[in-house]
Amino acid sequence: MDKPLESSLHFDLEKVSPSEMLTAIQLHCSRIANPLSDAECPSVSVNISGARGQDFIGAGLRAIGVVAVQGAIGDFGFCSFGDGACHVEGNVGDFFGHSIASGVLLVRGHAKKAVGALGAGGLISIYGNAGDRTALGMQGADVVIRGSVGSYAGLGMQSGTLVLCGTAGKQLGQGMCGGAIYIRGEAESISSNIEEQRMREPDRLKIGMLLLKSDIKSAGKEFRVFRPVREEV
Amino acid sequence: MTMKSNPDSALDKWTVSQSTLRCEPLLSRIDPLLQASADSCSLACTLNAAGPSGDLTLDPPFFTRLTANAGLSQNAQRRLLTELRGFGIAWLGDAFESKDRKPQETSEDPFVELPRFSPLQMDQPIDVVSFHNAAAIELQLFGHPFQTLANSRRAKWTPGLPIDIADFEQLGKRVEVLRVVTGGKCPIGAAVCPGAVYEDLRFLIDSGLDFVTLLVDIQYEMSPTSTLQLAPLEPTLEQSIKAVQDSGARTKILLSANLCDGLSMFRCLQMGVSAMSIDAFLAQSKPKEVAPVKESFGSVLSAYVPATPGAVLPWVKPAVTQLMEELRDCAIYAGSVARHSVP
Repeated sequence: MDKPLESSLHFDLEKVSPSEMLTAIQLHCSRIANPLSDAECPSVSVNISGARGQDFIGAGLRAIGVVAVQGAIGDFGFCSFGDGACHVEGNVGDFFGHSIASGVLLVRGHAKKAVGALGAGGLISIYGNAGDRTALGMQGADVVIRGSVGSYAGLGMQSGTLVLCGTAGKQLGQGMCGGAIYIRGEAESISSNIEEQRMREPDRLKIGMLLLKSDIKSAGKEFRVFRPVREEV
Repeated sequence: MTMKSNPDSALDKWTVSQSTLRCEPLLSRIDPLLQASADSCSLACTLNAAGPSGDLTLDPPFFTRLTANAGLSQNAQRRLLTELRGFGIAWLGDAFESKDRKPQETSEDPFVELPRFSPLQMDQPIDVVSFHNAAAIELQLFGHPFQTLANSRRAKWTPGLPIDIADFEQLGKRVEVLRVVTGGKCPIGAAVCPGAVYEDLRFLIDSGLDFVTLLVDIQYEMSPTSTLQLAPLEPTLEQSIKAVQDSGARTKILLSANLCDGLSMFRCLQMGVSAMSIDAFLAQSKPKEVAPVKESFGSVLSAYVPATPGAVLPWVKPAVTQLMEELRDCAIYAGSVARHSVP
């Protein structure tokens, strides 16, 4: 496979809207795509400044290189993200990484409600705390929260992994049908839909790998694992 | 109005007066020879998107949901769409994909030509790839997430919001994010089963949707008896039209109901519906001796034998042509169409 072309873009969100930025990035990618290459999209480095909590930043971005955001972003940030890496220096709003398909989203600040909702793949890592309904209806993505989360974490989760390095609020794992929740601290209450299981070596390896990918220095010890209650036949 | 190329009919050009589709009084029918010079408009329905280039025109104002509701195999869908190809009738369903997740695009595939409503289920992630080539996006506001309850025939259509909606403002944001990821190139709508019709419609309209599809009757198989009535048609329609009028929005109402002839469809247009499903009409028109289109032994074999589009559903094209003629006749009777302008 040919090495994809590389270029960098800079956007100031005080001058352009998130949708205009998305259009410009897509246009840029299609313009510099190498028709002789097998790569679907060239690797592009995007720097975004002037983020002051605007909604929909990075929504719909796919098949791109590295995105760096300076500042805080609002709701539905990097919705439907895929095939790339993103670093956000500030806080993020509700539904960050909604429907993420693949790639990595790293947030240095805190997150509000429903991080990684309906995520189908990829990794989301929050260095701070996250609000209620973290990993809502998740369908294959991995979410790592370095701090604590609010109530209803893992609500309706179908598959994927939720790693909580801090504590959790009420009803952890409510309506969960698949996947696993790893938690180091205590949960205010745990839903009857999940049960604690014995930590095995693959679990430790998985936690270690996810923490490593999330750029969190931790041995991955002292975690407990919760999975959906198995129905007896 | 110029209809899409219809090989079997002379319905090429016909004009409709600019007024509503109510019956014109005799006083306005004087001098019919001059009616052709009146302002003309179209029975076609235009769904407005956020972006100027994203408007979708349904011409004729028909669509089919059989491709999504009737459990048709991909081959059966392809055959049905091949028959509907010449009429430009919109359909609801996912893009047919090849193994490498790239939507197939060949000139022989009818689903590329026909406008496609891309469904987004209540528990489905927003996937920009699935919106490729979609003419519109339709949120499916019914069902139980992840099939957590028994999928009985009626419970399947229980009204419900996407699982990530925790308060009423979030639906508006969800609509907005769909506009952003599609670049404003698609109208965004929702299919809703009648419950508290007026309140539901006001809520959906306030959320910024471009159209709402009312599922009054569901055709769950290509058979005349396979219709599931969810609510009575006229009260539902009256309340929904009132909701649109009271909100002052330009939201269009699309209708899926048990409409089997041109007259009943024209009455719905008169009431304020913009486009209708022809599912019940197609099911009623199907000759009894024709094998069902649903999964059959033939469709299993067709995976190994090259499909012969057009050979299996020969009754579809004449039936739809007849329906369009009926609709035109009703418009002429009502005085909405200048008689001598019809070829």
